[in-house]
Amino acid sequence: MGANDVDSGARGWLGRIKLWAVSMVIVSYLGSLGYGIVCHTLNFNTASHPAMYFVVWDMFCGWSAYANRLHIIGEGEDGKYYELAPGPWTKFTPFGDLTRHHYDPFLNHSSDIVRNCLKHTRAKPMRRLLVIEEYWAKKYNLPDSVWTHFFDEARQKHSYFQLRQVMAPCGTIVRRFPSWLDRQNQLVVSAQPLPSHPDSNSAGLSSEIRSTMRPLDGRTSGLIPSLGGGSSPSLFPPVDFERAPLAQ
Amino acid sequence: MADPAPELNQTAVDALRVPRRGLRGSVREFFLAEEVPYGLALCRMVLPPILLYVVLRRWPHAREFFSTDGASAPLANNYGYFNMLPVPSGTVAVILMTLLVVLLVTTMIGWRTRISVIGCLVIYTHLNMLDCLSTFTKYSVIASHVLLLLSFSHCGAVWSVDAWLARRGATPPAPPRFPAWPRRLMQLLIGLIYLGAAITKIHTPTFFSGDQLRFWLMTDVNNSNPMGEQLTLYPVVVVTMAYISVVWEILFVFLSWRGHGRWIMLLLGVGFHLGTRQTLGLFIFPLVSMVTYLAFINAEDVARWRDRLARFRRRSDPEIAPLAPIWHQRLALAFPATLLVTAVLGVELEHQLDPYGLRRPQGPHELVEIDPDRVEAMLESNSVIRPEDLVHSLEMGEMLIGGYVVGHKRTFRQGEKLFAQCTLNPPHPDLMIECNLHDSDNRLLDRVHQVVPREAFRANFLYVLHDALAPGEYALVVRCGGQEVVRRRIVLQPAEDAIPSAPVAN
Repeated sequence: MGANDVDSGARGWLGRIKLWAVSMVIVSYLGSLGYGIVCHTLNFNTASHPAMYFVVWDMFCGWSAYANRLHIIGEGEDGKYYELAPGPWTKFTPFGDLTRHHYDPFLNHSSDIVRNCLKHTRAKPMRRLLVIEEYWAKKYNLPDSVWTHFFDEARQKHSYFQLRQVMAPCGTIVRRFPSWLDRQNQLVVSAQPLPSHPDSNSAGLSSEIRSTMRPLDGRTSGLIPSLGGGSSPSLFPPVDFERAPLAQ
Repeated sequence: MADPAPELNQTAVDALRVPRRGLRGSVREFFLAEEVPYGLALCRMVLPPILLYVVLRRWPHAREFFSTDGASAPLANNYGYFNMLPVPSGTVAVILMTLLVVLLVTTMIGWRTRISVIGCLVIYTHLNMLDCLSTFTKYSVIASHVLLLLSFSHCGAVWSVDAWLARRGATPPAPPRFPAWPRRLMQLLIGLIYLGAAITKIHTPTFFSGDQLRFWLMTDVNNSNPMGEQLTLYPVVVVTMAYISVVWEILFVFLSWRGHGRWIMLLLGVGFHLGTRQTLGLFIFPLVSMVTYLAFINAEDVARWRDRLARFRRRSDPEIAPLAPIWHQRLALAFPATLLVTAVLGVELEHQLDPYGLRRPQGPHELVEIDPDRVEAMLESNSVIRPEDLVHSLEMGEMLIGGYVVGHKRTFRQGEKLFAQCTLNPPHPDLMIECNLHDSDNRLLDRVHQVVPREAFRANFLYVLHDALAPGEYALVVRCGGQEVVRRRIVLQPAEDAIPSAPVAN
């Protein structure tokens, strides 16, 4: 056996090891990607470990009809309230025009943000620290050109606030509350019954609607025209049902 | 599935001589065929500038975002794995960010490529995972995957400083060839990402109704997206695009390998990502995703483009002289020296910048006081939604397509149909919605109500504008919970056949 044969034999042996190593990498990599796809499809173990974030591709996880912001404030012992996020030294906005603390919907990191703010400022002694969530309907985000397409009225934006977290002056969490949106979802199915039709009472109509009614057939304004006992929701004179203004 | 460009090594060629290759041979050819790594070299050159934009914006905040001297937000905490990754001190965080900047530059130019890419992978991924609030997103994950695959590859073998340094003679050597598997894995990566994204959408029923997309289009947590807000006026377009995007995402992994399918899929992808840039305000995600498309470029494409370019370039390529041997030794030391010097300079610069303002003449910052009235409004508990906030919009048009009103208008003719659609904001309780017709004196002409269950997003009302209604101005009034919430004015004109024809001039 010559030196060349030994060299070629060693090269072949190394080549086989390299091939096996490459195959292992390929199988492991595709296996992990495939595992993520399967877990995501079957909704199984998707949040079992941080590594799952690298193989689960849930880029579209739903968007609500309400926009929200977080307000982290401190109630000083002097009775005044102070903004604790963003810190007074920064206005960094990572992805748009929102500062960093707004991207913490689960409030897992608000405590650290507060501690960091108090540590690096001349903060007055605090009585308690609060995280308050603000919500408003996203329709108020629309530009005027789109708004006028949907509404004739001027917009009157209204915000809903919900206390989410109470912290001690040292940043330790004392109490947590569900988000406003979660609460609304619960109220929808648990606390709020089917709202009664305020004007469906056969005894009469609300004065607001009554005042808008057109006198018909010599009746005085505000009386309901007889509909012959039918259950048509229309109050328009049923001269010709086929051609009358009809709503479905 | 293989494209025709890669050439096989001898083993693979032997395997190909078998009349029928079989599955094993095809897989072997797919992953192990040798090729010049042009596609991965392009990825190596294009990804770092994108990441540099992200990293440089965060560099002054390294102490705050990634260190124990700030408010780091480790991703692992969200999963219940506390202290999974070590959080560096403030100075170490600054050093790491500085090194990351340098390594991204050296990766881009292909200097000590393998070390640079591995360094980028480790530092970038580690620091990202320490700030899930303002740094770590899905584009970070995709970038980490790309860096991982580049670290396995020979992406620095062409179009790089390393390739230049490797030249020993005046004539450029033939470009080296390597197995294609890192490029194949990158192609499969983006295909599987799209497949996963399609699965997410399939899991979200309201995606296909267009409702969630409409709310996304008017979300401002990303960059500005004025085109998206305008697109909310055209929900049928939104729904159509939703279906097209899902079909494309599913087909991508199957059709993007060769022939016309490759270009069609890639061009659709470019259109899709540029669309998300315009309509959703996503800036970095589309760029990082499209970097992986460069892995679909093979040696044959490069040869074709070179031929086309050669038609416009009359003069021959300037000869680049090889480097003298002594410079090889000097440059070998220059790389660690560059890292060391920039790290020291970075620490000094950050110290001078004083991100917390602790060393200002006036001392640390004061907290900003909030207006007491504002705080009082915040502390008011107001869980009951106003009826007007339950209604998202009232649209009027001439027909329904896909559950949406189209042909928006507010001037109708007698005899025409008026479709009114009241869209609701979820969550809402079971509601009784009225959509009433009032005349110009605000007298009620027609009163219609409809029960809208909690799971429904829209209530549709059809009015046939009969000629019993005199031409003039009317209003549609939506009432919810006994309260007027929306009012829209409409104009009714005489039927077309009722208009006397204009006299014709002779």
